[in-house]
Amino acid sequence: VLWLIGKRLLYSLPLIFIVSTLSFVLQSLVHGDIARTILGIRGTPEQYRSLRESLGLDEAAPVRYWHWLQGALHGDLGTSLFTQQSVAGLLNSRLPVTLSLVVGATLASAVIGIALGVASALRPGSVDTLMGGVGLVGLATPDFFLGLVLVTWLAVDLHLFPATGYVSPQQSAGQWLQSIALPVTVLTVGAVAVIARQTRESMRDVLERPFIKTLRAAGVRDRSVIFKHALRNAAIPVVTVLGLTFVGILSGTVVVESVFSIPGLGGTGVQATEQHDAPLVQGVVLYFTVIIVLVNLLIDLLYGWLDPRVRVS
Amino acid sequence: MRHGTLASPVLRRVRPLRVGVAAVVALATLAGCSSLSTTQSGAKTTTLTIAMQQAPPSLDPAQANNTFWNYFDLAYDPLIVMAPDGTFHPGLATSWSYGPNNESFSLKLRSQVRFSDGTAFDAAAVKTWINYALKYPGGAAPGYLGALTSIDVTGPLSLTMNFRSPTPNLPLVFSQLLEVGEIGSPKGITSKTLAKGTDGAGEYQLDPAQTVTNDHYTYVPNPHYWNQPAIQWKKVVIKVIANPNAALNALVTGQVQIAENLPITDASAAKSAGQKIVAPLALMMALDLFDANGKLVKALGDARVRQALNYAVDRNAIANLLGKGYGAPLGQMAIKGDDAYDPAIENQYAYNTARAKQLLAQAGYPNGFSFTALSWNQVQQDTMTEALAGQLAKIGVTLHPDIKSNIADVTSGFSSTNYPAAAISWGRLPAVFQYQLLWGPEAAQANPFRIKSPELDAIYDRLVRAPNSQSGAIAQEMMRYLMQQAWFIPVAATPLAVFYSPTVTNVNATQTRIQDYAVEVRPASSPA
Repeated sequence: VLWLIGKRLLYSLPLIFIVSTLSFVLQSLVHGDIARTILGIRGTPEQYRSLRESLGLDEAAPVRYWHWLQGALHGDLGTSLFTQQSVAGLLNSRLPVTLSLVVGATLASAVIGIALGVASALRPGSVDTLMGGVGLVGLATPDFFLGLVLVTWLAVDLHLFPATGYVSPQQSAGQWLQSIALPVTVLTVGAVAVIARQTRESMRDVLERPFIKTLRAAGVRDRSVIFKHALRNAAIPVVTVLGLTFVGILSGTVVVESVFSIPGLGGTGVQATEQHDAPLVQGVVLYFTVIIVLVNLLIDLLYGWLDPRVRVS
Repeated sequence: MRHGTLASPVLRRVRPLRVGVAAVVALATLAGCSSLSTTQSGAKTTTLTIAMQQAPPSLDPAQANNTFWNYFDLAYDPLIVMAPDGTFHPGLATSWSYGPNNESFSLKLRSQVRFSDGTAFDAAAVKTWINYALKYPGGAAPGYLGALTSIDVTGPLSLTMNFRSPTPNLPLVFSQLLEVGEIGSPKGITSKTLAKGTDGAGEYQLDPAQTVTNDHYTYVPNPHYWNQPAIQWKKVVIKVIANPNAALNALVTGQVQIAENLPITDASAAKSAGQKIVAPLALMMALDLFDANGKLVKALGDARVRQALNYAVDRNAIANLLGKGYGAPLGQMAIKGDDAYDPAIENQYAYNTARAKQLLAQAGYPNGFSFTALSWNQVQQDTMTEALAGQLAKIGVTLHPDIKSNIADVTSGFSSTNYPAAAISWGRLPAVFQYQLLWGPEAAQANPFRIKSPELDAIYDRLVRAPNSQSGAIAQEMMRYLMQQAWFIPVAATPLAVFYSPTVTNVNATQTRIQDYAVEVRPASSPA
């Protein structure tokens, strides 16, 4: 397993390099720079030139990228051009916030989605129809819209949850749970629909296979057939979708963190992009990429756990 | 049978799960209910939370960027305090006076004042600070104190500033409104700690342990503050909420007590939720006709054409569109309360398309002409420019709005000479500063063609030398000249709205001091 992990991590290095390069190139194509953002309309051309020079923006883009890459290889992601804070320090403080949302939403969507999918596969009548309808609405509803609806209803009208902000679990576990409840719900709704649909299809396929009939003919209890044999066999495509869902939820934080004013990686990425804060944007992209690489690795390991044939291959 | 389905073992297994999820949600809700109510009740007596849309790039007050006023006002007392009625009162300076011709300015400082690091506040510290602020990259001080030649420390608590040319309006410059007088500690300068912390002689100081950059900034009382009884709050938190809708929700739910600069379009929603609003007219929405010499668009070089454009604008209609009942038509480049505001010319260019067409014909453009105007998709500049385009079309003039979404594109467009005109949303300042920043020949950004007028310069020369008692009349004379030349199309005055909870009072953003001052805010139950 360790060899597999090492190999996968090694393979991911070119990916991280390509993504960071692309990110830098795309930023270079965007007109404007952070010196303009900081100075605003009041800045004189002399001040602008001076600030650009002090921020190192007068260097050619490839040179700046090379400097960034050198630093990154040594674990130094530079400093934010806007706030002059260490990028790594800033993002490390944001990471637990985003992980709270993403892990919470992934777990919730997995539990609810799989439960609904199994129920729907076993009873293709009204449960299936209901799930299809709810799933369609879930997929079609934009995160920002659902967020606004939930905030208006549950926070503003009923005062059940805070409208904005994040409380760390160290500060108060209850308030932490409360602060992530609405954002996690928003991120979960669409994901549930995807996972439930995949679970239903996989379960239906597996339930049609001869070994299920054999098990039932042998008198194995229904609960055991479904959860021990059918669900495990149906799980591999579901796990694949779960991995993709995680990535979708992670990207969804970009919007959701802005709607709920939560200080996570996504909101930081939006702000850094608006401010043309290149080192911070690079840092956010790098963190997102590494998270996705690690999740893919975890999915691969799960494959092996679920299916002995994968372990052998 | 459907009932049989519901009784199946699978769904029976699912039920506990549902119950579990429901329990977690209920737990979260209950936990939230108790903590929220605690926070709310606590905030009324001990914590003031203010929502700002942006965090500053640095906490160093030397930048004197009043977009971020609350971050500085809490920790840095100004030399001179501007009261809500626009009058000036002692702050860290107890008295001040101008020398002859407005070419020197003397201050006497308050004694027994210390910075939050414990070091003494004195004349030497003020001198050190001003010299530092003048060199701060992108700071505002050079714009206001550019003519400063020297600072004489005449005593431990007295100093005199000497200028190479007349420099009026220094009480405003050194007030909390323009922030140049918010003095940081020399120790903070040498230790280079001002960008990420505070070190002033103000009521509060930043608590880094309770602060997350770009998210929330927590201020606690400064133990060295010279006037301890004035400190009202045990804690003041500035919460960065970029999304105006989220800020309004935070206000309505009691997470914040003040939300700064929310869109006026949210006013009715806030009012119906029981919140209060102050909305002084703060921004002049106008079209700056850069090309008044007709280099890019020949027609704009003729004053009659520029006057015609002014006559063609139905200001009431656009003011209603932009201000949602809180705005006002703008007939000159000043708002009532400004020194240059002259009520006699407010209706000089009353809406009159016939007169506009007549002037165009006299200038040789009976069929109109076309020009492009730079605009921005923020602060309603785009809406104003498009509305103007619609109105100018009625006299045959085609205005092409070039609307940018990026502030960098807007600022570079201003400093280029590629646009004959640009939309502006300009703040209120005394006429001397407007001359320096907006319509004078040295205006850095807003006069890219360096349009110059000897008559205007002569008025300015008299204005800067005038004693306070005479300056108003001269400022109005400047405005009359400017509007006669029609270098601008003033359109509407729009408010900067502060929304606040009925649990607090003294949120004093007024027509004469457009920004509230956080240290004045009190709980509603407390005497002001």
